[in-house]
Amino acid sequence: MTFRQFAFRNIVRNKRVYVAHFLSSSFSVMIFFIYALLLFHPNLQGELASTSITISQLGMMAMKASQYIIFTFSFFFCMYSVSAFLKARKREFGILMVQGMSPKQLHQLLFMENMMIGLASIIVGIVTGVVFSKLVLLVSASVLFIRNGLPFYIPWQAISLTALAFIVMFLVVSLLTSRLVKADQLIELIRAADKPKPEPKASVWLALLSIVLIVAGYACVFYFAMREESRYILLACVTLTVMGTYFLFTQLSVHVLRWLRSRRGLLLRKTNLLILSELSYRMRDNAVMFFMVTVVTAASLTGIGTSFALLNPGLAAMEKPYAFTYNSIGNNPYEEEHWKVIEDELGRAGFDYESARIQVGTTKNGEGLLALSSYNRLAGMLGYPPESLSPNEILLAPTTVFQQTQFNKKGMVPETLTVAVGDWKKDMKVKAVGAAIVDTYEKRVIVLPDELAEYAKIESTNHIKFVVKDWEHTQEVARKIEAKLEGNPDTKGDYYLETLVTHWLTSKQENGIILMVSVLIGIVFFTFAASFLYFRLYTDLERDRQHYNMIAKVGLSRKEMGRVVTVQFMFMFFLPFFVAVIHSSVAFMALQQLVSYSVLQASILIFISFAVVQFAYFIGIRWRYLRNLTRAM
Amino acid sequence: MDIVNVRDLCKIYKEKVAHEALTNIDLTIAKGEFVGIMGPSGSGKTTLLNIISTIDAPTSGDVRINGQYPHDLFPEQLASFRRKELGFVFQSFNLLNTLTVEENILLPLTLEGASLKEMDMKVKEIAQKLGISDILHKRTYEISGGQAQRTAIARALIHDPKLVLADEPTGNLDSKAARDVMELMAHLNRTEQTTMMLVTHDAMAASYCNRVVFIKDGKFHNEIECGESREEFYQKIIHVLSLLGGYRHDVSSIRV
Repeated sequence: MTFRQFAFRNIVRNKRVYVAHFLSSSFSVMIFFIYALLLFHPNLQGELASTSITISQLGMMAMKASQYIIFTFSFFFCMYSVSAFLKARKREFGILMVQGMSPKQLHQLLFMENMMIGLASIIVGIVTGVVFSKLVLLVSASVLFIRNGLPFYIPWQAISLTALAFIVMFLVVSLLTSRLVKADQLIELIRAADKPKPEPKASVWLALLSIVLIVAGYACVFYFAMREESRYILLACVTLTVMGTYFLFTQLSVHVLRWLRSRRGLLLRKTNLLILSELSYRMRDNAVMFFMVTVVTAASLTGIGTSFALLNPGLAAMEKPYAFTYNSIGNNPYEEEHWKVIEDELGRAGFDYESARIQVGTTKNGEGLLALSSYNRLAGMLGYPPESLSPNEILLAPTTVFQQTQFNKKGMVPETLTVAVGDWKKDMKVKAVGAAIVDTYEKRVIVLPDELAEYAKIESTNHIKFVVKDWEHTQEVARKIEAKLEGNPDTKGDYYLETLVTHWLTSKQENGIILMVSVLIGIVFFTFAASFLYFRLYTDLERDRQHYNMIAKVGLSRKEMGRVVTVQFMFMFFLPFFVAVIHSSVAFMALQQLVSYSVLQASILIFISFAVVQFAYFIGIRWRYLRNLTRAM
Repeated sequence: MDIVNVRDLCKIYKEKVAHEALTNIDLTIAKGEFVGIMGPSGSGKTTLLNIISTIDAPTSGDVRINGQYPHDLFPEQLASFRRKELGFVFQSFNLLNTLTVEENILLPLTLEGASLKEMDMKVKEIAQKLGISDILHKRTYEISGGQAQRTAIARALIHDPKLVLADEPTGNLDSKAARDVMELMAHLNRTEQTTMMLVTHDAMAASYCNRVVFIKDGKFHNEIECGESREEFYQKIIHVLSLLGGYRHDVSSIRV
């Protein structure tokens, strides 16, 4: 038996001890790989394809942010798993040292073990990643009825990036772990009683700092949403919130537990003693774990939530508020006739509708011109408040929602504007920014007071706008209208009809890619968080079994043990989840600033479905754990 | 020639309350001797063994083993010293359960980087001597306590150490297995001239030694030597133990 053989046999024959570490490493590799797979996907290069510029930008930034998070956390996850693993093996190292293993040999052994496990998990992680992503791409494409989803490809770039990143990471981890075992204190290793890590030093200032950091992080998100869409701001907000969360768990938790333990009436009541002492015994381990689970859960909640907002019909309606728009080209003789046809069809199908004709002129600068009365007519149909103007004032109306967020930022709108149309030219005062309800193709729209309405007739085109309450169901009637209008071939080239429902259905297809990406990342992150909890329990199972076995001898009934475990698990599963929900609620509130429809429903739906899944995890893992725990009794 | 030479050894544990575990201990073990250390719980006998075996460090005083001062060595040299000069036998066997019996025995040679030929030869020889040839390919959970302790002894002896240190080797064994193990150790001590030091609670085990040293409260109490008969020696040990204080009626505590 040579030294290398020894190291190899030590792993192969001791699978149970290594399996948790191996699985968690493979898991991190897999997640990173799936991410890399999406990052290098040929269909996802450059700007993400989407019907909305707002969402495209947001999508790209979200992907960037989660890229940083995922790599940092893979690293932490590996370090955490290695250190838990080494702690369990202290005694074994003691025996080896007593037999005359030199510190150098011990480091060599650890290095070899880590690299063996590392290489194996890289291979397993990538292979499962390929299979898993194929599966997810298939399933999500069919579930979401996405025709042009992401095709599957063999991702050589992603494979090499993952392999390289993790080889480097395992090298670093291997070198660091050698330092984790203090080889000179043999007596400590031999005794190797399961000594808990000392309580983290809790200072009131750091506890307060945690709140300050989180609030600053939240403020950054709103600044990002309302003022400046810069990726640095977003990065700052993520960093601040993550740091704040870390201190929240490591500092505040110490204070809370100390306070609870100081209340003897509470502490000494029934199983509370056991629950509280277990919680504080593992305070440091728990604090770090809670922190990681929270951040990962918050990331997945926010990711999925943002993409769910995409499917919301409100987004399509926000970009194009009118169910139908009939645009006349040039001098269109069929305008009145067609208007009547559309109204008849809508009436026959039983829809509630309102319609209005507007005349939009063009300035020399390519701006649209609209009379205030027409604007107010549209505003009235869509439920916006009417505006009023004095003779030398104008309104500036954005043509898209994206432009509206731009206009709402400071310094984007001039105080006065020169309006030039035909031979007429005048400096006008910009009174305010209007609503994005004039969705024409001009670069922006100037709303003139009715006294100057005649200028809006120059170089003008006619548009008939229809607002239909239940426009999501107008697919059938839209087809009928189109067929009727196209029935007369003479009219071709005189008009152009836009239907919102068709636009919405197409955009659903196009946005599908972003949606799939985010859902994939979200699912992966969320599974990551849950397995984190599971691996952690798995590592400590042996110790827990002895612990409860001992207490059972003193007279703890199974039922009471179940209760102790349940309460602890509730903390582990729902405390991080709760904080994550708060974090992502803030993110959704910021998102709300970017869009004009409500994201409340979508976010509540996300929270509830995640809570249900989390509850299922809780029940499942608790059941398995209790079964494992009682098996030996 | 002396193998072990302990002079003026003190050990103080500086925890919240400083506790003097050993005070001015002197001990000499000659080559080929089999010395037992006895004393009540908490008397410091395991601390003494740990310091001699270089697992723990002394607060003051000298420990010389085979002419070297192991506590002055650098970690790498110390490891090499341990695997060349010392052999260990523990109460809880401390075998690695990932390895087979044979591989456990070979571990010190593996760490030393010995040739495979030498390993094969030595393991065959020692297994024969200890009567464990049949179980060489079994895993540690497949063998009995007595067999496990024989394996541990084989591991302690395979590299021909200058000194074998045993910490309650019979503590986890039934009386028959304990007797067998002690007889084996005494036999190896006589035939191979291996120097041995044994820490024990058990008067029966101690009676196999040439000499027994008693310590109490970290101080040297007295020592007695084995005369003609082992029976007589056993009675003497029991007598000293009873003088040390109600000791005979104590149930030996289990230490890990």
